[in-house]
Amino acid sequence: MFLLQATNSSGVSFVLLLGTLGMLVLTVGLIIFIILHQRRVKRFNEKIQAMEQAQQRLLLNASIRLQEEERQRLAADLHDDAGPLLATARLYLNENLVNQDKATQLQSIFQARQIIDDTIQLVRNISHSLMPPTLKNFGLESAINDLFQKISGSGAINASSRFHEYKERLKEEKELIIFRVVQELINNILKHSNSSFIHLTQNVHAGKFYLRIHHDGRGLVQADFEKLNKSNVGLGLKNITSRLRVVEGNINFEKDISQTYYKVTIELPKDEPYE
Amino acid sequence: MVCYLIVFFILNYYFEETGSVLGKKYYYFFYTIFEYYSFALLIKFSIPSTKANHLFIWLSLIFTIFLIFFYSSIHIKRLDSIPIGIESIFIMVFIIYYFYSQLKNVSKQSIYEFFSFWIVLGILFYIGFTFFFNILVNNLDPGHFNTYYTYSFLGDIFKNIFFSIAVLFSLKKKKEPNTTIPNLDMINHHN
Repeated sequence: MFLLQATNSSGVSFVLLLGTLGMLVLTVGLIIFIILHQRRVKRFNEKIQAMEQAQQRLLLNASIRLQEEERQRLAADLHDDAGPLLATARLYLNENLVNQDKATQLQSIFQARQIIDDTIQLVRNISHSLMPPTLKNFGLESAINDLFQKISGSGAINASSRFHEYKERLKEEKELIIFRVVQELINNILKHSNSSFIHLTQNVHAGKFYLRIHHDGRGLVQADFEKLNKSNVGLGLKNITSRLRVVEGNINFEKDISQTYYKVTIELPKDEPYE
Repeated sequence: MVCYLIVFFILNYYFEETGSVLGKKYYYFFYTIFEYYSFALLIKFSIPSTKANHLFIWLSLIFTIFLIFFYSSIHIKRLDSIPIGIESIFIMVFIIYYFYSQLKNVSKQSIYEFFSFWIVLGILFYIGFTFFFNILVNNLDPGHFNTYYTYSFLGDIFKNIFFSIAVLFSLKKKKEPNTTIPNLDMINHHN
């Protein structure tokens, strides 16, 4: 209105100068604001990126450490158990055996055979711990059911599992990863939770594969899990995260609405059926 | 942009040298509509979104209809202030949308590394310098008009400087080697 009312020339000049000056101030202000804002956002993004890289490094370190621990365990098993057994068998089958009487020979051969059988069993156990045969031959459902039966059979804890919809198997690599994650979770529950039962259920919903573990002991919620994941402790949990990242899966730790149970939910995209 | 610069060089030269087009509706109509479409298209091509296309289509349609109506019915005293004012406001809408889209999509590059930023900056300065002059030009006495008319060229000068920077940035961008592919031309041809 003021602009329209400014009819005399000096008034118009004043409005023109003031308006132009205002426009230029606005223009410069807008540019400065945009540049500063963009710099701030960029700095923030860089910070987030650095944090993500640090997290990745932690996960990588955890997975390397775990791999090394596994190798050490394997080396120890072979060196401490299989090595002495085979050495003993060799003692029974030494060169003097041919000079001994038949009864001693037979006894030595029998002893050596016993030891070799034990060694075979030991190697089989090591091999099974690396890749459970049930998982390879019959799939995730059987392997998990087998694992839970063994846990329940020990009498220490009541463990049960139920697969609701698993007609189409996941890919072999995916099954192994899920099995390892479940093993790690179960180990943690057995070690730290002091719970009286563990129950696992499986289902498929909206193209996603779900596994949920319930237990009534001490547990974690998501905040604890993320905190442990970012810290230098909690190697097993970091390993879970890195394994699930490979299969583009998620894990969620929460407490039941009744505040009685802890729930761990694994979610991953259901891909093409197993061939 | 080059097309815009050539056409406006001819239009301004014609206006300044002959003066015969002063008050001629067809000249103002062509000048305003060409300026609007040049600026709007320059900004629109800098915003990769369908919303920008819709905005461009609707505002351009409204503006073109308005211009046809205005020039066919209104007498122009000295300059077509109202169409220029509306054109400036519409271009400001495009500029604000451009900056909004730039704020939303933060890339690794700074905003001033894009040549489109310098184009928009040139247009913004041009509008900043000339907006109030164009609106109030019909109310100025001849003495003040001559003074401010000269000053209004500052907007053109700034615009052309920023457009030149934009051209430099676009050339620089074209010359940049592709760093993602390593240079493997290490075979000794003298062997």
